[in-house]
Amino acid sequence: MKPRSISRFEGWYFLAVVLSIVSTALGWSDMSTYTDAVIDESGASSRGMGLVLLFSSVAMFLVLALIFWAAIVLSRLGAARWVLALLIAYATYSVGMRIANTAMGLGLIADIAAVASAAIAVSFLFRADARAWFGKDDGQVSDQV
Amino acid sequence: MTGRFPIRSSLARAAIAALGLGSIASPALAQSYQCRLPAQLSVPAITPDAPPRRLPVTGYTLAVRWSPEFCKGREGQARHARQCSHRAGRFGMVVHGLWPESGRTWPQWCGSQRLLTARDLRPNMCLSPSASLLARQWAKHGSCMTRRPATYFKVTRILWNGLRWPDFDRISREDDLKASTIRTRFVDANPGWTRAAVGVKLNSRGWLQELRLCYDKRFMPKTCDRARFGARDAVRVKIWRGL
Repeated sequence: MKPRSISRFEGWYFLAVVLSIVSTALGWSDMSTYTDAVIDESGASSRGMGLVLLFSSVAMFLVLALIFWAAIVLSRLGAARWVLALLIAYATYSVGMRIANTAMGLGLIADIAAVASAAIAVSFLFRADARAWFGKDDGQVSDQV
Repeated sequence: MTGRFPIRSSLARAAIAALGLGSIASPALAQSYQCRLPAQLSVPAITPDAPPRRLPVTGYTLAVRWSPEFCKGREGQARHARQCSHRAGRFGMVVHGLWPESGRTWPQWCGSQRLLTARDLRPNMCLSPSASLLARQWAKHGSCMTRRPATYFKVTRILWNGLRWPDFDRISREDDLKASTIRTRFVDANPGWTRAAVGVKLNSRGWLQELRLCYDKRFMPKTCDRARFGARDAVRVKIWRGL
């Protein structure tokens, strides 16, 4: 049976994923102009390529989110939580840059909430019951980092 | 540099970047030898000098200014201090503006409910080193393209980042320098562009002022009309170095 911290991780983690999608969806209409201008390798651009990139990005994010969830919850891979922690550290920096450089809006608020949820989720992975859940993997990885 | 994957979510960008597939967004730089983003920035008030003209957009022009020529004689002017005083950096090509076109005319002063903020301007301050220029470009041109100023400035950065700039200092020293030379050097550096899509604007004495890069509605390079094409190929050009 999953310990309490792992269950809480799942709740906050999937909330973060949903908020990330909400953040993207809130900016979708304004992204139409943006995607029109996505530049390809030759410096030219195309509407089709922009939309493909946009949908690909969302799909890739969802796949990655599921892979991390599976690695942590199904495979009990302790290393995955460290990788996730690093990604969230980078996301925190990234959202900080966004706050500094863009106007506050609903999309940005959802983005901030997503990163905060993800940070809370990861914090549960470092609690005692979660460490026990990861078992031997935990000690090995901790020594490396 | 702008992320190749156009997703807004910071978490998603972090995940994709970890795969080595995306790149980290950062403020776009002009062809600047040095440039510092300002710590503080105020948003100038812009008053329209003509009535609104709302027209369907048929294409775009990215107007790129040769800063040494623009700054000649303006080095001491307070309103051009950031671009011309050399205290905030030295600039080569800078973005004058991204202009929507509508056939032989253009839409302008379309108005926007969105308030322009310093955060909108800041990422472009090394690209177009003048807050008043940026504010005016948004009010006059950008408001006819998109609802959000941040989107307008982001599209400008994307277009800019898709360009490669030849060394205009070196080009300025070429013998028998003509408008055709400038077009050829630009096209050589930017595969996918044709000479017909590169407008060259000179002042009355033949000094290079701007390039006018012509795009279609989908932001693909397209042949400039006569007004935007500017100087014909055979016209002699001088480029003020002043760097």
